Amino acid sequence: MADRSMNGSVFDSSVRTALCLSLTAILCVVMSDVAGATSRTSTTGPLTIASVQTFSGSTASFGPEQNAGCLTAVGIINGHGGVLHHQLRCVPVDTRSDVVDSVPAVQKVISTTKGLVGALGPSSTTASADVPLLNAAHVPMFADTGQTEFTKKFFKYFYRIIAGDDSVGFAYVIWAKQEGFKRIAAVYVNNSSNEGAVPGILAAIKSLHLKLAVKQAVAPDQTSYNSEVLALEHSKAQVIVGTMDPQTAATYLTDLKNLTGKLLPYYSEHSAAEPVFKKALEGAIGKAAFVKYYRSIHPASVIGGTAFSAFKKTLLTLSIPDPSQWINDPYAQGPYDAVNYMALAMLEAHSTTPTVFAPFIAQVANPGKGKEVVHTFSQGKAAIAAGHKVRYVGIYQDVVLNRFHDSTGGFVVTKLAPPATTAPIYTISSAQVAKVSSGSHS
Amino acid sequence: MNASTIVAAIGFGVVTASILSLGSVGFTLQYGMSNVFNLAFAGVMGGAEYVALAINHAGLNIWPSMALAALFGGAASAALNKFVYMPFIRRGVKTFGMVIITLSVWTIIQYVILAIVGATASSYQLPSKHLYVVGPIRINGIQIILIVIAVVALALLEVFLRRTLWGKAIRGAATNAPLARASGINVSRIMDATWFISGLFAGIAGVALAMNVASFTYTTSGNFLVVLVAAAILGGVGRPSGAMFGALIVGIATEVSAAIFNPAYKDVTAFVLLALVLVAKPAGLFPEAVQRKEVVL
Amino acid sequence: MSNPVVYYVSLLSVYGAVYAMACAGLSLEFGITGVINFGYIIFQAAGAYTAAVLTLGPSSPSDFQHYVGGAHWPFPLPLIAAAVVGAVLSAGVALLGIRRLRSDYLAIVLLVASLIATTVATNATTLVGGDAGLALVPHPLVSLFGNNAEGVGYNLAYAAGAAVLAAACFVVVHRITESPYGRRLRALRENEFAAAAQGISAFRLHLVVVTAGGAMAGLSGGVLVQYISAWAPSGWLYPETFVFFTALIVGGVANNWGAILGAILVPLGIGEGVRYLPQIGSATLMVALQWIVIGLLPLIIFWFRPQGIIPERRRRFVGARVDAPVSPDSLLEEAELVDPSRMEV
Repeated sequence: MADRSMNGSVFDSSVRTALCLSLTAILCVVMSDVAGATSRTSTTGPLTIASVQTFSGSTASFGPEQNAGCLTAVGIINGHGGVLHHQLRCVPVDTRSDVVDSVPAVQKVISTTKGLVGALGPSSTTASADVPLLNAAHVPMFADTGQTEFTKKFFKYFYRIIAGDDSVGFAYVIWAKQEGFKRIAAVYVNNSSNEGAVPGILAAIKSLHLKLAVKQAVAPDQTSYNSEVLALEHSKAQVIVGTMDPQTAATYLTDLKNLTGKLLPYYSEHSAAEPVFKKALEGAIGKAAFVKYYRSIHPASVIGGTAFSAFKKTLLTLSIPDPSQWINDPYAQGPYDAVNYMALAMLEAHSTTPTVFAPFIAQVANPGKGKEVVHTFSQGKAAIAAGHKVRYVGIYQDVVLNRFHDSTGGFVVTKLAPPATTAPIYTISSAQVAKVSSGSHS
Repeated sequence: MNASTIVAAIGFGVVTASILSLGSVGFTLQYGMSNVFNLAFAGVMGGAEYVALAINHAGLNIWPSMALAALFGGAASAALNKFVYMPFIRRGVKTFGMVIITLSVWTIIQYVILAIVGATASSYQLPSKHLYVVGPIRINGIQIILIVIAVVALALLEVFLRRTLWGKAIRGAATNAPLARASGINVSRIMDATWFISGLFAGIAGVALAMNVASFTYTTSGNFLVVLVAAAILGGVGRPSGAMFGALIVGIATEVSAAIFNPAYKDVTAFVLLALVLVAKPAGLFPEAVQRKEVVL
Repeated sequence: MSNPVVYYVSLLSVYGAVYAMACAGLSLEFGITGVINFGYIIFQAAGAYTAAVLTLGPSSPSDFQHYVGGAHWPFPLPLIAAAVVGAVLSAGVALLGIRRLRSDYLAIVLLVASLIATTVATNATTLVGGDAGLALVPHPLVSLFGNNAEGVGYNLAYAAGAAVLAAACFVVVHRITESPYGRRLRALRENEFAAAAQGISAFRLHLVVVTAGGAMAGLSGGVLVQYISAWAPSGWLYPETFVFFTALIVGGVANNWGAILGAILVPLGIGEGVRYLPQIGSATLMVALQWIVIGLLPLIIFWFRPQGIIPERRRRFVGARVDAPVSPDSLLEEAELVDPSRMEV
């Protein structure tokens, strides 16, 4: 070869040395951190619940929302002596809304966390990659995804207490019919979390003999939805159903109001008390319109009662930014219940090892003969100590985990009760959903 | 889809174009002067959005808030250039490296905003909007004002660049900095002025965008950046008047395509248009007389 | 070390190898030849989707995911197909674009193509699974390890395999850059007009280089998707390309070790390293801080070492080989110390 470098070594020796030293240092830090996590559970160390969520990107509000629920449950549990002499803690894990980036994030927490006993999330943005990982690591997770993948495929450590996409579609249409509407517009953001409801919407429309006015999969984060709104107007839809993220929904409804001079009733899975959603919509269409037109359809949760009071009381003591915003948010309440399920399962199993206590989660959640119904961790702890089997009924009502660990519980239709809470209007039971869903096959 | 929806779409397109033009003109001014492909432009827009939000929620009407936010944008842009970009350029970084630097700066700005504001959606307190219907065209009072603001701002800019001494100095320095310097022009001050002016446009564009979108988050300006840049490049980089027309074309084309095809592909129209223009007429539709490749010191 | 730890280390190794493969391809295109492919991530995505679809088998209407095509090809065919798809797509781009467009315009067109690609992939929900993408992609050759894809054996083997593939890519890049071919490429990068005057066909060289780069990108996608078992548009948005460019510039342009170093330092080191920052304040604040550090580090490195950590070797024609015939190649051999930040777009 004719090439020869004249100027000696490829790179300065000082740079080379610095490089080697710093790489070695980094490696040592990482390896010690990693190697320290030799056992999953120690005798007295804290137990970790990983809060796997999106903390950045367009759904960046999901992370703090889920975390608030986690911190509240953990606060109560620790205040009552923890679980089997272990304190609990929540560790946030940002998936960066990116399937590829979430895998190392999740695996890092699996590998470097002593005493990882459970997880909240992941959300549908990254669930397809993260769920198998957590499942393989035997980490029970209460996921925030309605994707039909998890209605059809069994993952032993996957649990879901929010609605599956396939059933929520039915719920929308059942309520629309209840309100006397005939022409329904399905408008939803074209991402994995919201498209899944469409087959249910279409099937329910057919089964209940209603009409699909128009179906629109909108791209999120666009500056305007004028064309979609005109098409909606042209279709003479009477009601809009389908989930959009807060900002997209706000823009869409504003365009609807601006262009047509009026709004239509709108149903989605966001709770009217979800702070980001509420703020976005109230800011865009005004508080009065938000109360008048928006209905939320989500798994039945109750504002009031023992579980809710305990949740609210401790939530307000947390040192996170503005904790009061999450009081009535079902997607902060769900994670709270989830942590309680896991904690009580651990108590019933007398073990903090996930492979041992995981089967008890369904036991603690589902109804059964001879089970004492409890509404808080302290009640549950006392009951278990007294030798009883428990069923925890938290803020979410009607949770029944099927063999896929998906909850087939019913829905509640709520509206905003100003200033920041919700009022239930109607309950849609799982039996009603099943009836409509089977009716569509006839 | 019929004639009236297309005419209506043209109306929407004009509104979009006015916001786009503010942004693309600002972007192209910076690029034209310094040859820096400043992705952090979206960061300045975002910052201005939230400055306006704070002022607006403190009680001031949206229009003076916009003006103050514009001033913030101008100052921030000028500072960005003077204290971040210029030092790197003096250190020898040239055009390509600067792209990575502006990207890094944008990342930092974006997440500083997230850290301060949080992962929430915000809205301005706007005066009520009256809907005007002219045939198939529907437009509300605020959008009309935004169009007027855009037209006035752009007209003022053109007058400034062509008629005033400062404006001519800017055009001179943008075309040939060494020659300008040799002619006695204080190029450094001219650059500061240019970045300040383009930052004003960034501020107005950001607030206008946030107003039109009705609800914005820390990622809103970033989502807008790509179409904005497409409009700027379409019009020919460095030419504010070109950027204006680029914005008009992109704004109308995207809205009309949304009326005809699936609106989710709205932005794709802008991109396809840009790609076609670059293949057919690479310098843009309204190219500059002189093509420069160096960053200007 | 326990199982999860081994898994984590092998995961990081696989990611490192994948990034290195991608950086190798980009290094060939950009570092050596000066083609600014701002749509580079498309080719990795194409490779990933190809490998995924060719191992998932055809999708049925009742399935939870829908995509075109589908087969159950055995290892290593899906990987080869991934590389081929990356190569063919890249060649297509070269044929369409390189001849017509100056480098900076080509860069923008490619960037735009990347945007269009993610939009189409997201909205055409039956094409490649839409926004949810493809999931449960089978791992290759699991049966050799007792069908235990989470076991130590399989993961170490996968990491080793990925490393071997990455090394192979670098060997290819090395062979190209150290050959007379490489001299022509560098000549092309430095001064296209002078090179043309010497009779060097820009287009053919570009075509070959871009095709090879695309093949490596596709291969990297295939290796990655078969490891993490999932792929979605969120994983290949247009800024990902800039991550690779940053990696090359930080590590050092136009040399293999620089590309490897950059791949390990930037996407792996900075991207994953910031997760070890201590938690202060709220979760959102912590995440914002991680991203701020991700933005700061390239700036810091650019400031102190703009030529990259391992700069390109200065090459001079040494008169030692006096018997070597003077050829057009040798006259073009001398190249300045390459400072990638000084590269003209």
